Amino acid sequence: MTDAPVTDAPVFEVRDIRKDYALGKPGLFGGAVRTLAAVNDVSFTLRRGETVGLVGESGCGKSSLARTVLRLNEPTGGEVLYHGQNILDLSRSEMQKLRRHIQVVFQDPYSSLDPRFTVRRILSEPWQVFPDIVPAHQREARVAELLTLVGLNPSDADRYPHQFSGGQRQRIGIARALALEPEVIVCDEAVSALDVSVQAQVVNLLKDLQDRLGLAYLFIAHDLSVVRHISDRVIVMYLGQVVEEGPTEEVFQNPRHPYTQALLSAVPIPDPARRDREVIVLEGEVPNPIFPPSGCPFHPRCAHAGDICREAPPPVKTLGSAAARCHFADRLEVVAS
Amino acid sequence: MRAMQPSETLGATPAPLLDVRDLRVTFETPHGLVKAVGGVSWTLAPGETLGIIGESGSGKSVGLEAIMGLIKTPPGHVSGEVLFEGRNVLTMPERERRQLRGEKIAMIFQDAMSALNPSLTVGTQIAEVYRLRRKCSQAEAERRAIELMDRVKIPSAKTRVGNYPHEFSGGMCQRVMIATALALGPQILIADEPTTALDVTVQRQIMTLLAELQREDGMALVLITHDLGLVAETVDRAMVMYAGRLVESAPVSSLFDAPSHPYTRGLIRSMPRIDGASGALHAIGGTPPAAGRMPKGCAFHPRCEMRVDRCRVDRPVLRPMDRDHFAACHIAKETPRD
Repeated sequence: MTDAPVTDAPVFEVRDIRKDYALGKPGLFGGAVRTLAAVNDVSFTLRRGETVGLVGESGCGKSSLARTVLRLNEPTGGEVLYHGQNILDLSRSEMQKLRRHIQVVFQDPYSSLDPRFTVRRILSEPWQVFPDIVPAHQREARVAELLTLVGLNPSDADRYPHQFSGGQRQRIGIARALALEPEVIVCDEAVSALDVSVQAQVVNLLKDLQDRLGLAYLFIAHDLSVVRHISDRVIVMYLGQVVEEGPTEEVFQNPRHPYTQALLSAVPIPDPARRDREVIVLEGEVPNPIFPPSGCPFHPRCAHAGDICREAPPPVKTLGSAAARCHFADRLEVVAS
Repeated sequence: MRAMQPSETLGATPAPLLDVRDLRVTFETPHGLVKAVGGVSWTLAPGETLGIIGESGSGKSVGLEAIMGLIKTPPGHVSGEVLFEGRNVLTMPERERRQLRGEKIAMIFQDAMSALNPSLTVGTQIAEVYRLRRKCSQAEAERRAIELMDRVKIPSAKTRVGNYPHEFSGGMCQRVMIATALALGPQILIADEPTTALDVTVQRQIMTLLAELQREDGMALVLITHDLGLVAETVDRAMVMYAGRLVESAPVSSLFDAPSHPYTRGLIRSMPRIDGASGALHAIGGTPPAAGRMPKGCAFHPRCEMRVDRCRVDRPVLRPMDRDHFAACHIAKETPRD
């Protein structure tokens, strides 16, 4: 939503991407088909070495967005540019070739690794599809390198996934993503299933790899604390729309959208001295996305909603380096967490 | 609205409501006997909020399941004593124990959706507890169910009482489970990761509700969780479990201000914080030991940066660090007091 000063050409750019799902079939008399806008005109830019965090609660569209920008789901509209080229125009085989540059790490390290394969096979499999990346005679050495890179032992190459803990499996998943030397990695809840002591190891590993390899991350997570820790910029979604976006510190310290304020305020702080702080308890639940509320989709739960919020969809208001989709964004008191 | 209020625990320590002594849980497995909980002792005061923190496999849930009588024997074996109103719960006849469950001690779980019966309306499920135990009429039970749904703030309870669990969101299902747990007015509510599957704004709603209910009824709450933030905001006293044992127990402010056990310190330092006060994350190296492969001596020693030779051999026991603050560590230092 904002145009940050361009310091570096974007590696990955998403423009007004949209994913609608048609619900049911047209009626006998040609009744209209209802559509569910899972992702509603979302735009963002990823530069080399940058992490964009994507947060929001269940059903906000963050995973749909991830699948759509990876072209695992075909978008309904918009553009996804990789070094300026719209990947949505690519044929199936061209897209296949491009995938090596954009990899993904999933949440569940248990189901995303084939249990019948050794770690060596899991890590070398991508080179069957892209033989040019690592010449055959160097593959053995590269497997050892990759394992060392993610903090595992080269001797682990002959073991099977079940012989590893959850944190170690996630490291294998990361090593597999790195095997193709990508520029962009989409981390879809990549550390969410891990215990906190192990989660910290993997978060540190991701940061370290980024520093060394200049990777760009789209980091999708429901854990706001982790997102604050790892992201340079952050995008907050609600009912398929971006409601706020900006540099991480700006958004976390001066959230402008009432939803962002409530979301940040709801996160528990591990400090008993702060338990008496004011918190915002949101009323009600996220509405059914098939029947989104009129005007601003957040208005039924918003403490600041006025008549205009029920009537007109709010514009995006740019506030310094951040932007919020709220009629009152420039007038609300900032509630820091 | 304030963050959760601590319940008042001023004055002399009252007699414990629940007194757990040397609780042990083992399981028979194809690979031999596996210790899930190895000798844990703690007490719970009336109205107190106690937090049990631990990562996967630490034994935090299994211990409470054993107290509730939810461990099947075999393969499970439970020993030790759990005293409630002076009687050992573990040796009670099943009929009496069932009476105790729900009536005096109730439990709610992480996955409310699957804990509820999908083929019965939520009203029936809430009313059933009441109808069976209180032997009241169908109409009276339904009236009571609506009352309980109002109490846990399910909107338009009168119409929703006839809905099925799949017609509710995760947060609403958790409210239904809380209503069921509250039906008979228990003195203790055990909540096992009650908000882990929920979104953070819904978690806030549920935790606010629990604190309110507790304030109104004076019931004690045992919160089992992996989330240090929830513990910091909710409980009076916290216990940290690692590899089936208690490694630290303290009033919550003391635990966060002066964590004594290297594992507790590691947990606190490895957690990113929403208020940005975390800086670099200090991960704890290694992983928790697999059940059945417990290291000798202190179970944490392979991951501990401060270990000394003794840690590999002697298992440390809980010893006092400060007022009501205990840690099981050879090298932890007592807090000097004037």
